Amino acid sequence: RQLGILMQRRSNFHLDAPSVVGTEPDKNAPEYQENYESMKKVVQDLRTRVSKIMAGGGEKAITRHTSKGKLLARDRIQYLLDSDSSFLEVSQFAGYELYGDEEVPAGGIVGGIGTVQGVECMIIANDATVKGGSYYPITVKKHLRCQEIAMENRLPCIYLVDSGGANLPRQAEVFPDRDHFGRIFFHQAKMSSMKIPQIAVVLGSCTAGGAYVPAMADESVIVRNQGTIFLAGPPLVKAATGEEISAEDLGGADLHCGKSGVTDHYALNDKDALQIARNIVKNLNYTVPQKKFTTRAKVVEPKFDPEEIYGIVGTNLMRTFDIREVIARIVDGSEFYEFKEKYGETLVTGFANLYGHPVGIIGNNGVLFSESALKGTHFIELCCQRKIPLIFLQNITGFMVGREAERGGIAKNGAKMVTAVSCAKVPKLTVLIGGSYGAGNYGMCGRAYGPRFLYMWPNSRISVMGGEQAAGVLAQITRDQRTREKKEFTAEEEKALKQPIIERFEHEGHPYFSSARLWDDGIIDPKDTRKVLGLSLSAALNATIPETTFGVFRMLVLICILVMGRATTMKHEANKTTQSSKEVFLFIPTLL
Amino acid sequence: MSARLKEISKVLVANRGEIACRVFRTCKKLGIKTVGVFSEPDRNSQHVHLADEAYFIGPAQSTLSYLNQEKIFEVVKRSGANAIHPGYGFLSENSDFARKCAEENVIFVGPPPQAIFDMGIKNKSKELMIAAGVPVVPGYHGSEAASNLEALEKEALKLGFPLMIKAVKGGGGKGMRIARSADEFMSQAQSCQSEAEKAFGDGALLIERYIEAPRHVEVQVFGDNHGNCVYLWERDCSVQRRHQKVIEEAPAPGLSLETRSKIGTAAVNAAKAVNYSGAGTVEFIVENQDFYFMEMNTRLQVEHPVTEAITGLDLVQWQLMVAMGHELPIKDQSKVPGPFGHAFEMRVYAEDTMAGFVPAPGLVHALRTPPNCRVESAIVEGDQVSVHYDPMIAKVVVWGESRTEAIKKADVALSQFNAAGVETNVDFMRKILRSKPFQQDVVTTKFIEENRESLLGKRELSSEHLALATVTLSAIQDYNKGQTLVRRFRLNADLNTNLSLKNDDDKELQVKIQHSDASGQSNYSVQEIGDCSASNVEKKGNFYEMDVTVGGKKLSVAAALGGGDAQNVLSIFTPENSFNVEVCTLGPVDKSQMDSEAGGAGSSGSVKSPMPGTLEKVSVKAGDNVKKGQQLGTLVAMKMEHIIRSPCDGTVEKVHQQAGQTVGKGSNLFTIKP
Repeated sequence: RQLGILMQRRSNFHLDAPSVVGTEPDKNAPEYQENYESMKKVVQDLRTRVSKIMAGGGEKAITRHTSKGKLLARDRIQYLLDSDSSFLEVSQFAGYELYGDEEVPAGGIVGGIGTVQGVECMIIANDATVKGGSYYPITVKKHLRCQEIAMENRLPCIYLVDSGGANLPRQAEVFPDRDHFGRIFFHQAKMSSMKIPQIAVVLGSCTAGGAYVPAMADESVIVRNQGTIFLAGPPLVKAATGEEISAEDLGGADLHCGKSGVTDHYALNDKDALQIARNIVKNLNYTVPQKKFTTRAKVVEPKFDPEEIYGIVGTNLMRTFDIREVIARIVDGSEFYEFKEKYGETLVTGFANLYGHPVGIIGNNGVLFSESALKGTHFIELCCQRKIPLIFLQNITGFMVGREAERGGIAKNGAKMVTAVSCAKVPKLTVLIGGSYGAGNYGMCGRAYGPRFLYMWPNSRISVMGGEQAAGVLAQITRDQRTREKKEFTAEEEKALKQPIIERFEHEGHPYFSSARLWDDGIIDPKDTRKVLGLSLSAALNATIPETTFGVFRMLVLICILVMGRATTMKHEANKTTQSSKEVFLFIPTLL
Repeated sequence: MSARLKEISKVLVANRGEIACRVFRTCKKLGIKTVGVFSEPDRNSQHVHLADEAYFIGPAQSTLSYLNQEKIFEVVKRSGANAIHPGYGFLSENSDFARKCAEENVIFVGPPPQAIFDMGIKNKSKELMIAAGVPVVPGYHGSEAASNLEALEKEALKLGFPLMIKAVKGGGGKGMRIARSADEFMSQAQSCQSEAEKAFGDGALLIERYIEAPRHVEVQVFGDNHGNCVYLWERDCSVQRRHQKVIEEAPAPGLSLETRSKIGTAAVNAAKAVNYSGAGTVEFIVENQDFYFMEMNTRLQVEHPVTEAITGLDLVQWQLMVAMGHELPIKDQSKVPGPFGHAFEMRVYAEDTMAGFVPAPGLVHALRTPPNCRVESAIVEGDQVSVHYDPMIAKVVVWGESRTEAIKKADVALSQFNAAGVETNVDFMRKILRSKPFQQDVVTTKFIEENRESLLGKRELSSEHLALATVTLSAIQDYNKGQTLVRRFRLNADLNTNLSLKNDDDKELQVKIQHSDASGQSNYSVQEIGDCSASNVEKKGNFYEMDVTVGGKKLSVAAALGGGDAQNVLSIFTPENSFNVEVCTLGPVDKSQMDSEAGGAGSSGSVKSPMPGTLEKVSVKAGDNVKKGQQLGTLVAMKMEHIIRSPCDGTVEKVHQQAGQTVGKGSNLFTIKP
C-alpha cells in the first residue's frame, strides 16, 4: 500500500479516475424488502393492465377482423419494424377508464417509435378492433401527440390506416376545435414541408376526413380488396345521388392505383403492404444530422442492477432516498460527474453518459430552496451552452414555503429556474419518479414545459399539492370558519371532510388517471428507465439541437446566504417532513 | 538411354476443375510452365487462375471445347507447350488423340495409344486378359454379336442371369444396364445401346455374369517405357451410388497379404500385356478373396490421392517423369513404399441425395473446408457448380494410422466441409462413415442400396434445430446491424414473436420466441427448448461463425444466409450435422405468381424441370392426350438423361420449351390439364 502511495506521488502519467456513484443496498433490510415488494406489486399491476390493453378490442372484434385476412394493429407494427427494433410505445393508457363503460384500449390507436430499415420512425396504427378504429376525442389527442413527437424530433411518420373516421356521437369533441381532427392533416402538411417523410398504408377503410391521411401523404400504399379511400362511403353516396356502388369500386386499390392516382403502391395483402412500406423507407435517403450512439464500440451498462430501484425507492412517497442511487442505476457505468455538489443540496445536478451520449441530469433530493433553484438554473445554462440534453428526475413536493423562503425571494429564484427550463432548447426528458406537486412540477420540466418525452413511474403522483395537504388546508379553512361562527369542529367531522378529498387527490393524481388523459407519454417500469430514456434520447437526436436564448432572469442579492448554514442542516429534517407543509410552517420560525 | 529423354518445359492440361489444378501444382513444384484451357462458363474458374497462361477454347458443350482436339492443338501451337496432360475424363482415354499428339510432336502424358485402344474396347481387353492369364468374369466379349441384339440375347441365355450389359466403349458408370431375367434383357440392352451411341458414338455391347454383391477393388499400376511396371497397392471403391464412387479407401480392407500380392501381380500382368506405361488402374471385382478383372482405366484416377497418402508418392510427378522417358523411380516391387496406415477420399458432390442423388448444381455461396487435411478442389466461395460438367465440388482426403482412426478423422473433416447454396452429399457420407457395417465389415457395391433406409432417412427438423435456426438468424441480423441502442424492447410487456421457417419439404414451421435483452446480449426463449443465445459471432467470408447455446448445450455453428436464387435460405452447419431452412419473407418473393393465383386461373398440372439442364427431346405437343407417367420429354443434365413424365392423366395444354433449350431448375416445361 505504501508503494502504491509512493507510486501515486511520483507518477506524472495518469489514468482517469471514474466518478462512480451508488452503493450496494442491504437487501436484507426490512425497509428495502418492503419497498421492493410494494414496487414489484405496482409494476405487476401495471403489466397486467397493459397486457389487457394490448389485447385490443375484445375477442369478437378480433375474430371478425382476422377472419377477413387482416392483421391486428400490433402485429402489423411488428412486421413493419426491423426484427431487432425496439418499440417505444406512446401512451398505452390513453382512454383508460375515460368513457365509463366504453372501453377504448390504447385510445383505439397504437403509436410509438421503432426502427424501419434502421431509420427511427413514428408509427401510428389504427386499431380497427376498437370501435371500428373510430376517433374518440382521446384518439385524436393521441394521434396529435404522436405527430407532435414526430415533428419535434424529425421522425418519419408511417400511418397504418384502418379507421371508420370520427366517432359521430362525440363529433363536437372531435371535429371543431384547433386541436381536433383537422389538426392531423395540418400536421401532415407541415411535416411534409419540413421534409419529414409522411407515409400512409391503407389497410382498411379511410372514409371522409380519413381519406386525407393517404391523400396528404408523400407516398401511399393500398391493399387490394381491403383498403378503401373515399370522401363519402356507399351509403352516403346512395343517399346523396342515388348511385349504387360497392366500396371496392368506389375507392378500392384498383381505382386508386390505376385511375385516380390517390395511392402509389398496390399491395396484395397486409404483409405485402408492409413490405412495400419498408421498401419506401429504405429509399428515403433519410439522414440524421448528428452523430448518434454509434460513436462508442461498447456501451457500459450501469454497475448496479436497475431492479434495485424497487427496493431503494418503494411506493411510500413519505420515504426519502438518495437520488444518486437512482442515477447510478440509469447511466453508463454508474459514472456521474456532479456539479455544485455542496451547494443547494436538495437539487442534484451533474453530467453522465446515456448509451454513450452525454446528458445533464437534474434530480430532486428534497424540497427546492432558493439556492437549489439557482443551482438548477446555472446547470441548465451550462447544458444549453454545450448542447447537452437534459434529464429531469422529478420527486418534488414543491418550492420551499414560509416567511423565510419568501423573504429570500424563493418566488424570483424559482422563476429563474422556470425561465431556464422553459427556454432551454436542448432535448428535455422528464421522468416522474415520486411526487410531482405544485410549482416543483414547473421547475422540474413538467408537461407544460415541453419536454420531448415525459414518463411516470407507477408509484408516482401528480397534483397541485399532496392530498393530505389539500385536505389539511380545507380543514383549516373550515376550522377557522367554525371558530368565527363559534361552532365546534369535531375530529369526526374533520375526518369526514378530509377523507373524500384525500381519496380524490389520490385518484386523480394517480398515473393511470394521468396517463389516460395524456398528461404524460406513458407509465414505465422503474427498472426500464435507462432503456426508455435511451430510446427517447435516440429519437430526440434525430433533430438538430438549436441554440438557446434565455428570457429575462430577475436578478437578486441572496440574503439568505446568512442562513445557508442553518438551512442546510435543516435540509435533512425538512426532507422527512416536507410531506406536511404545515409542519414546515412551524419548523422554520423556530429555526430563525 | 539419355538420348531418348525428352524435356517437358511446358504442359498443357486439356482438362478443367480440380484435376487441372492438381496437375498444375506438381508442375509448379517441378518448375514446369503450365497452360490451361477453358470453355465459356469456366472463364473465371480456379484452374484458369492457377495456370500460368490460359486459353479460351469454345462454348460450354464439351464436344466444342474440352473434347475439341483441333482447338487444343491450336493452343499447343500458340502457347508453345510441348506436352499435354489429359487429366481424367474428356480426352484422357482417347487413343486417337494420343496418336495425334505423337503426330503433332507433343508429349502425351499417358500410356501409348495402342494400350489405350486395347483396354478401351471392353470385349477386346477381356480377350487379352484371358490370354495373359488374368482371371475375368465369365461373359461374352465377342465382336460378332456386339451390335446385334438378337445374337447377343442368345449368348445371354447361354450365360444365365443376372447379367450385366455394358457398352464396349463405356466407362465411368455410363452405358451399363443390369438384366435380371430373360424378359427384361431386350429392353435393357436397347436402352444401353442408345446411351452408348449417344455417349461414346458406338453402340457395341458386351455381357458378363453379374455378381450381385461384389466389392470394387482396383490396383494402381505404373509402367515406364523401359519395360518396368510396379503396382502401388490397391484401393477399395465399393461405396458407390448410381455406379459412381463416393468414398474410396486404401488399402482395401479384408484382403489377405497373399491376395494383396496376387491381385497386384495380376494387375501388373494386365498392364504388361498391353505394354503399358504411365499411370493406370486395373479394376477388379472381388468376392471374398477371389478377384476377376473388370477393366483397366488408362489414366490417372480421381481417387489417386488415397494411393499417394499411403505411399507418400506424387503420382503426377511419376507420370511426368515417365512421359519424359525416365525409368520409374522405383522399379523393384519390393521397394515400393507402404502401404502406410489407411487413407480415405470422400467425394463431395453438389447433389440431392434424398431425390436419388440427382445433381444439384448452383452457386456455392459460402464455403469452408477442413483445415487439417488434403482438399482437392477447384471451387472457391462464390463459384458456380456448372450444369455442364461433373457436379463434384471437392475431394477430401484424410489419413490415419489405422482404418478406425482414419474414419474418425474423415468424419471430423467432413463436419468442417461446409458448403452453402447447394445441396451436397456431406451429411450422407458422414452417415456412411458412422454406420456400423462400414466401420466393422467389408462393404460391397450394394452397401448404399441395402442401407438406403438408415443412410437416406428422412430429415425432420427437431425443435432443437428450429431453436438453432432462430438464434443463428437473429445473431446474423444483429451482427450486420452493428451496435444498436436497445434491442427488442417493449414497454411493459415481453416481446413474443413467431418465426416462420420452411424445411426442405416445404412444410411451414412456426417457432415461438420470447425475447429478452439482458446487458446488451440478446437472449431468446424458444418454444419448449427454453433459453438460447448466441455469442462470439464472427464473419469469415460468407460464413458466420458463432457459439450457440440451445437449452444449455453449446455448439460451434457456421451459418450462411442467402446466396444465389435463394436469398432467404439459411444454411446451418454444426459438428453434428447440417440443415437448411427457408425463412419466410414479409412480402411475396414472386409477386406475379401470387397475382395469378388470385386471378383464379385454376391450378392445372404444371410440370417443372427437376434440375437445370437441356431439354433434349419433347415427345408431346399441345392438345395431345397423355396418361399419368407417360413420357413428355427428356432432360439431359450433367451428362445424364432424365425422363420427364406426366403427373396425371389429361391433355397437354402448353409446351413451354422447345427441344434443345437450356432450362433452369423449376422452369415450367409442360402444362397438363387434368
